Amino acid sequence: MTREEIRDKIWYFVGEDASAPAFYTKAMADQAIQEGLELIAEEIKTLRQQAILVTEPGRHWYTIYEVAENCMSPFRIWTDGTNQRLIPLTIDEVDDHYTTWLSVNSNQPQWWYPISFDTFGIWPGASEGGTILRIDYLAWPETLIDDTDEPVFQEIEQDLVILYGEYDALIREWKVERAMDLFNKFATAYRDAQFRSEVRRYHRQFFDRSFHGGYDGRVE
Amino acid sequence: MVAMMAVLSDLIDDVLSRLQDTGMRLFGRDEVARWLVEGYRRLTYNGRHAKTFTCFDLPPRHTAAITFNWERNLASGTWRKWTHSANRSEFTFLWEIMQRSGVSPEPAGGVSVSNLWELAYVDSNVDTFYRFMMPKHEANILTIWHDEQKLSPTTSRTLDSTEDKWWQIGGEPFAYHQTLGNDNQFDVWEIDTAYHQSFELIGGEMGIARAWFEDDHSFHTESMISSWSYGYSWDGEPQATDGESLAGIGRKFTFGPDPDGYHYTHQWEGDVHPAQDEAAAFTNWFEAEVITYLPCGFFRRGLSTERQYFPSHQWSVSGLMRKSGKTDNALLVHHTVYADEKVDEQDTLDLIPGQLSKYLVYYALGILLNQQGEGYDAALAGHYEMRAGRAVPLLRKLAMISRMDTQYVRGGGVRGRTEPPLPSLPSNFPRAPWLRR
Repeated sequence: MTREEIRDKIWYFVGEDASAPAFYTKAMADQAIQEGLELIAEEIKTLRQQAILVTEPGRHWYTIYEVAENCMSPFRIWTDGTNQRLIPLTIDEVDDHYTTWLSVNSNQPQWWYPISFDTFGIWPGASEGGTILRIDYLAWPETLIDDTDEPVFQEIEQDLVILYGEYDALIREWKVERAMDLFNKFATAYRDAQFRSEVRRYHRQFFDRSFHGGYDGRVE
Repeated sequence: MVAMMAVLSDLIDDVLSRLQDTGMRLFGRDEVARWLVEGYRRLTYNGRHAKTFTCFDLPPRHTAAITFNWERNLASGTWRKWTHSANRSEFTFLWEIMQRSGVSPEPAGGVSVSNLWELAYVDSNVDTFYRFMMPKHEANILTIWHDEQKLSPTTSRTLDSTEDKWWQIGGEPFAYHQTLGNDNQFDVWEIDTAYHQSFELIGGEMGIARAWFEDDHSFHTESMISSWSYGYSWDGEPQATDGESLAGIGRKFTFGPDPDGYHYTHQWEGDVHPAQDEAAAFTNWFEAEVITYLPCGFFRRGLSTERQYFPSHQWSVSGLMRKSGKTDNALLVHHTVYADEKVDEQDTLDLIPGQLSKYLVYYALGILLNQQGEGYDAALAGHYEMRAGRAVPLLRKLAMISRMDTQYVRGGGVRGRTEPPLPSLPSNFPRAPWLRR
């Protein structure tokens, strides 16, 4: 569905005339659509993307803004230098492992650790730099800027956005009781979506026959 | 395109729109801004997601040295009270208190300093705590390192058990505690009295520092422009040349003008004609070497293969680095920060992702709709409060996202947080319910 189609459905459900909406304006509806998309992204964590980061000499810490504009948080880091997935630790764990970790530099990173919501560290810090890091991250949805833009989520999740838009319209009209009903529906529905997302991730991992070389009927 | 940072004025508009009060009949912009900013401060405090590093030189430095406790209310930065309080008075030395109390004072000894960096210049012990103070909006201390060694958290009770004046024992810092000062203060033990300073900011007193100095290292901003393009002696000269402005950066090599409108080369000339301008002036080329940097370009980041630098306000994608430190012979503190309440309408709210700013809107709506009056709606206020409450767990989760990856890592996995395995007991061993998890 495009943004226009989503908006039309919201207008239909709240009884607005799409050609001349009286109360729930286009700007309000577009804002609700964007907000709904962000809610889905932050609750379900279903958007995952990859970006490349090149290390710089002497540098240990990087911000998510350098990774990508829509980076919510990295969750996997792969280094091309040694073809390995970096081990995620905390600062305390890094420090327990290697006392002088702050002054150790090498072009073979091994661990990564979060520092703040927008900063993470790579250990060891780069010596010459130039190492390729492939960073998989949870992403925020792109802002829909045109009516023909289509949200990146699957259509089943886009239904959630319509539900959220309907809720938003009602709550702006202060129809609180009905709006809360819809919000509870939305919350239940995104929990279903969470479940779908989890199943998509784990299903193949454990039950795919090609992975195990043949399905033998056992449930692991 | 993604909105990276929220701007306060946009959020105010959003709140007013949701209240159907864009004409500001019920609520003014200031009132809405007040609750948005309070929500921002609370969210950043409770979320504990914004963390950064701060370096402290040794001995500790403070913005103000105060004599009386009431001066704390006037100090705009960090402070240290350097006097002893007794009998509702302040004293410099213990013997003064004894004298005042009618006790024969012990032989005068020791010294008193108003700033702890003065420790480097005195020979004997100073009878006060070696105390650091965190700036106002820096909340919980997570870890402290000295010279890359993690300091152990301890308590004053433990140190008191040494039955010695532990606050005077010199050596290498290896422990810290927060049990005697205010919540934003901490004491380090043992104390290092040698003078250490990470960086000297050159020219910082005249505005923005563009060059740094530290022991055997010096730094300056890099610029495409390595020299002044032209020199001029009076203000209108660049414009007066051929009727066109000169390109590049010029340097005025004279003082003035004085009240009579004269420009002059030597300071004594200014004394004859008193002038206010204190800019440096030189007339020979070699004098230019005295000035090692040009007044253009800002220092925004430092890279080195030797060490990691610690910019202040590293979370900001813009702005200037005004403070810099290092870990050698210094303290490095990892701590959480929260937002200042002084936010203008055009300010961005950098301490939360822009996408989560909607929770500030909910927070403000929850407060405003709960106000007695025409806009009162308890059910709606409760709903918005409930929605605003979702932000804290979300932010906490984002701050520790690497946990998400732990179950998939290659061999070895994560150290330190796993529980020890349960002992394997023989089948006839008596029942041991306390071993059950």
